[in-house]
Amino acid sequence: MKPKSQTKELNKVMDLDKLIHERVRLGIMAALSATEILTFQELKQMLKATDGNLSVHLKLLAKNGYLAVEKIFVGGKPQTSYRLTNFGKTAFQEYINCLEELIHHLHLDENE
Amino acid sequence: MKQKQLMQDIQYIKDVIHSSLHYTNLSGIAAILSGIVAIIGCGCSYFIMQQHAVQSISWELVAIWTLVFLASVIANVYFICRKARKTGEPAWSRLARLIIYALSPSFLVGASFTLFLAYEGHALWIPGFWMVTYGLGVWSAGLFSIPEPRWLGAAFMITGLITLFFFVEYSLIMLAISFGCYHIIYGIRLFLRYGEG
Repeated sequence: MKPKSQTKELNKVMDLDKLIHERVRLGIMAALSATEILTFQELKQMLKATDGNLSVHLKLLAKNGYLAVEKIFVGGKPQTSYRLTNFGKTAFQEYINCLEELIHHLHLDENE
Repeated sequence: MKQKQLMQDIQYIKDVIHSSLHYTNLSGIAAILSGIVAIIGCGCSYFIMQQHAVQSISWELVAIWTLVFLASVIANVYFICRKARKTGEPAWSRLARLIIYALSPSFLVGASFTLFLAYEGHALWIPGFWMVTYGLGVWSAGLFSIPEPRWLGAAFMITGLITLFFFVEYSLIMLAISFGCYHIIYGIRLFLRYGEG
């Protein structure tokens, strides 16, 4: 049984969305799924990330259509806000489902 | 891909979602101190009202309750900042701003209508009115935090209404019970359940 279920597990791991499966990006997706919209500064504070690191990951998610970016001017200063697109929401939901299944398989392995 | 790693990822998702919805730097010690200060305020008010005609507002009373308010605000700001330093969660954040937005209308309405009640000589109606408006504010602000503030807000609204309907002549005692005892009980609960960081 062991080799077979490990193959199954491996297939599941392949299904995990690589774009989401990274600490900072996972944090961005989770935070935005809970709050609808956040500014760059709010995300930075919540995820305790540096400017450079955070903006790289935000750009990658936005480029792939997971995030919508909104720029407005507040008191003359530009402020960038982010929200999940419908595509991003679905992707995050699928990622969570995938994690759940993976955990489920691992539990089965343990019980064997 | 190890199970432990996956569990950590899931915990991380839960933590991010929880901390983006709930402000957790509330301080039990600050609530207990606010309660004690409120009881002292009630004691001083009783002493002063014994000397003056009932239903009139003296400058001493205004001074006492302004001091009680300021002391509570300072205690909260101090202990919240102290807790934030220990937990690493920011004291001033998006959630803190939402809490201030939720609290301010009830405080502003409360303060301005208090002036009206005092000016019209209805001083005994002030405590019950404070409880109701404070309860409304704390209930709404509690939506951005842990469940306890909502219970505090509900208790204040109910006690305030009971005071206004039935116990207006005992307003000062009700004020000591609500702003004093409720805050102390709430503070002990916060302290025991969440600690101070």
